[in-house]
Amino acid sequence: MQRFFYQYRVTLSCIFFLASSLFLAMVNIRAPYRIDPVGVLVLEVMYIPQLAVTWVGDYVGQAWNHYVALWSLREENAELRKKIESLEKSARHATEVYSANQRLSELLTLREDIGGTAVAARIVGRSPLAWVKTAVLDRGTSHGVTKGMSVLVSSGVVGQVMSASAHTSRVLLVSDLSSAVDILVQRTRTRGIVSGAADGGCTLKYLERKEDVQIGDTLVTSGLDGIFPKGQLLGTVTRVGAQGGHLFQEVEVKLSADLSKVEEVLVSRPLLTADGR
Amino acid sequence: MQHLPLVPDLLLILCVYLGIYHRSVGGAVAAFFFGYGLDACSGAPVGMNAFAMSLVFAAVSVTARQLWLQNPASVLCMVFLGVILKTATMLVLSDFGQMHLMLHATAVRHIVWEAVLAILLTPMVFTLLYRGEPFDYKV
Repeated sequence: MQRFFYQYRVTLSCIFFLASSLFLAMVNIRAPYRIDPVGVLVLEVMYIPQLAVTWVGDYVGQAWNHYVALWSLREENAELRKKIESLEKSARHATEVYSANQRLSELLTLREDIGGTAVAARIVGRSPLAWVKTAVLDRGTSHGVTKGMSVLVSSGVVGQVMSASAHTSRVLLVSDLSSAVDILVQRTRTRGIVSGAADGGCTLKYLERKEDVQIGDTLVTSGLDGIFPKGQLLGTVTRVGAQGGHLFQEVEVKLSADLSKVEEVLVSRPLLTADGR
Repeated sequence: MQHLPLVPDLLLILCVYLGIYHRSVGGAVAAFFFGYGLDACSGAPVGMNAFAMSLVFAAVSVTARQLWLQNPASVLCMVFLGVILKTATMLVLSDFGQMHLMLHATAVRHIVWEAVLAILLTPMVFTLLYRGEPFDYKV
């Protein structure tokens, strides 16, 4: 008998537990609200592990949520950065458009001021050599630009067209050594020639010693050279040199137009052509 | 019923493990108390899970005595069948008590998914349990 139990102990224990649990199930299914004392004890024992599991689960859940939230924040951050870049680009573009609009408006006003025909052009290139002050415009003979035309901006004189091809033209800036602009000292109506200087500035040449010129005097084009319209602002006197034994005064001029920053210009028809017509 | 959370039945996997590697009185006791604990904690009528777990243990241990189950495919198959057996037992018992807890097509789909989930977790659980065994128990 004992041997039988030992030999079939697993089977018998299975049968026992199956029978016991089936009995329990039958009893409890029929009376679902019956309080099971062992169940209550198990529930009490399981309370602390359940609490621990819940705490760990909550902690993991929170960590996971934060992780996912961080991922979404990262994506949102990248998206916002892109948006900021796009907006900055738009803002830069708008500023550029606004600035160009202002400059073009000024050119338009200038065009109305000087009268006649004038061509708006954009500076698309500059001489890379320090001692040659020229610029290239995006307008040429096909647009009406010819050699000898004056190049102006609202703030003053820029230069004159020295050569023109079909679609581009080269401008000799007033700050070039070989440039010469016939001017008047606005206050005294004294004539002179403004030319470029070796140091990159401009000088007022051929102004006799007796002529009255002072620092701060405004220089305007005289219109007598047949290139620049009369009365266009050229610059101001910044230094009047020692009169010493020289025949003419040495006068330094600061151009009113910042030639290094000019972008759009107005190319104006010469008042007289090269052959005097 | 359509949004039942999928919870892996780790106790059932443990029960299958006991049925394969610990065909002893201790295994039967453990299976019974796993089920009993589950009943106590889940609020199900006490005895339902205990009976289902005991039945799974008995079925697995009887099968393991007849067939060689210590290979991955057999183990996964036993876990799958264990989940189905346990659920079927629960269904029968609940229908017997006219509770109709899970008699629904959605529930059946849910059970299949739970079985698949259990299968996915089985290699990890079995590896951990097998590594924790004393050396002389290992085959």
